[in-house]
Amino acid sequence: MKSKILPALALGAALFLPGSASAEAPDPVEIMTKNFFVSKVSGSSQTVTMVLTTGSGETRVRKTTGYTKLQKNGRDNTQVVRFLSPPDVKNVANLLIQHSDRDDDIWIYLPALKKVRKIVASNKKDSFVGSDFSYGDVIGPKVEDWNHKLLKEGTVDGAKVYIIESTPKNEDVRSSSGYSKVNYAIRQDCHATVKADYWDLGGRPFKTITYSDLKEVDPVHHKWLAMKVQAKNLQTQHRTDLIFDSYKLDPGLKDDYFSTRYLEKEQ
Amino acid sequence: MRSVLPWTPLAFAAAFVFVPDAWGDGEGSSPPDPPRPSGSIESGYWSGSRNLDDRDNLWVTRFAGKLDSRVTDYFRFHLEARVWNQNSMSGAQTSHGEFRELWFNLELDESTEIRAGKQLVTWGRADGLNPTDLINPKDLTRLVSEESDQKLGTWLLGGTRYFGHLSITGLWITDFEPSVFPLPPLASGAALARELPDHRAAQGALKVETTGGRLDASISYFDGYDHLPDLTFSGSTITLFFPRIRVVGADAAGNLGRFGARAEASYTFQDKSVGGPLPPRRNVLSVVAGADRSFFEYLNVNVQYLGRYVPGFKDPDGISDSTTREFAHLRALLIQEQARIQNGMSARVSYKWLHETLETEVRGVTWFKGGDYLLSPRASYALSDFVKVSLGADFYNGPARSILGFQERNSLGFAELKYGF
Repeated sequence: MKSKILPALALGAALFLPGSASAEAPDPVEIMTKNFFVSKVSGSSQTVTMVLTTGSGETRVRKTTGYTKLQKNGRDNTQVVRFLSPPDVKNVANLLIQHSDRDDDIWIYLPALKKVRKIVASNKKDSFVGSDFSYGDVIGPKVEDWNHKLLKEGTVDGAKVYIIESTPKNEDVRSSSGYSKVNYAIRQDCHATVKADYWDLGGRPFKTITYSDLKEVDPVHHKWLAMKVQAKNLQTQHRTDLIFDSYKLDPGLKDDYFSTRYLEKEQ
Repeated sequence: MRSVLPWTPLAFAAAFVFVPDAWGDGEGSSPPDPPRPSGSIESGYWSGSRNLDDRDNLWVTRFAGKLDSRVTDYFRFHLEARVWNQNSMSGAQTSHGEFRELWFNLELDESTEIRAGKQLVTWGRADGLNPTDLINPKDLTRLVSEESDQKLGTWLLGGTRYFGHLSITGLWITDFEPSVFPLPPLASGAALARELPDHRAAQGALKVETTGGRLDASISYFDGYDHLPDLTFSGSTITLFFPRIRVVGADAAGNLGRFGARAEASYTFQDKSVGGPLPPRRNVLSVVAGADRSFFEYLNVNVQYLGRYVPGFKDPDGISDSTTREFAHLRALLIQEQARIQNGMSARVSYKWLHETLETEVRGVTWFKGGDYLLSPRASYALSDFVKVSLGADFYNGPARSILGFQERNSLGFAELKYGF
């Protein structure tokens, strides 16, 4: 069964953005909070290509189209993702309704069965559709679940960044995320993440996610999006490239798009 | 003689096609999408048939094509056709083709839509075994690796009205095709006849459903003909017929922590006017309830209880006439009524490997009383984004007079190569 892992490709938009610029913000919690909200656009539609590459160079390509809409609380997203290819998952579609205070609601449409099925939300550390992104990477960590420390300031690709070390506040967060530590490089001008280094539960370097081709997709609210994101597993050398082929800020999306009824509309 | 009634839904849809303004094609509508073809070509080896015969070493090649098009924002059509060829080592060859689906979908407004034509309709939230899924017949003898591919399209006209999370669906089923099912070999000299219902278009179904909240659930009602046959006999002639049934159903699905819970039940009111030497049909309560949970990221375990309750059940062994008793046993297998209370379970364990390019699964079903079971291991590996190889097997076992045991001759293995586009 093509199951529960696909949900949030459209959410890619959410994770990979920065926020409104501020001059100096030495408080790491404040930096991470701004980083969290920089991803929260009111609504969007996009098509995304995901390329999975093995250590020996063999590639698999998945294409999706999707929509996101920010809920009234300004934190949680509602999103639909539909697979366009490869053929065996074409029209598999997911509806994800995020909840800050409880497990997310997820439905999957399985075209072979002509059936919408409610499924259990994945563990945060689970792989996202077999990629090198975890489900937690895609929906983004909660700022309040982690301790944040400003390690230093530096430069990445010519841009000034804060280097923030984040460690889990408790064992639950540690085990559910699968990370013992994350170092984020966050741009000082717009608070976008440009790089994140992850360590596994044994303290070994685990993976690196890099964000490039940053664009200010909502100039009014200073929302930014990385059009290319790469996750590389340092232990297996497997990597996943996420490329936004198109992106449109779309705050007026109808609620009908975010329904199980819409999932069944094969394209 | 075939009536024209099955085509009525298409004629209905055509009326809208030729009235362009019917869709309110005004400001804000999108340009039509060109038809999008997709499909697959499969070829595979099967060690045996699913027809309770001794045919073995079969090669099956199949082409499946789909065409989808959104004509306007409010109108779209869908076509799915399949052609396949089956060869045995002895040289026997059969070829078939079918339109599995051919329908038009019309949105009358934002909350109402109508779908007309040959369709697949799937009802029920249990995993794989759905007592409320009564709209479509199946070809249970078809050599396909996925059980869902055994489902056949049905001509119908359906409409759904949405009220937020709530919806009401009504179906007018305009034709009847029986399921294709395996029958044990008949005694020499016996003849088989088949009686199809006279009023095929007099069938309908209704479903009220809620989805999109914490709990998904529905209640449904079906009034039509059973796709699986009952039997009667006279002399040496066995007659298969398809009795009228009225079925009230309900299902629900929700999450309890890390568990996904599902339940589905139906109560079937039988047509007791059916005469003959065999006892009258009995009403049946069917229940499927269970849960699934994921472990270690890629391991998923799904377990369900299966139950059937037949009030007024009469054991065929209580019939004094030996001929009638034998037919009653055969009938008990066909209509799956072997005890007043039947308990069983199903299980499915799946695991994904190598970034989900390799998928493995074992499915099993058993009925406790007879101890009969079906075990179906499956593995598929995506050689590329377009080519997939699949291996699998079905092992039936149990007493000859048990639901799964009598299909022991349908045990088989297969290997398939599939190209998708």
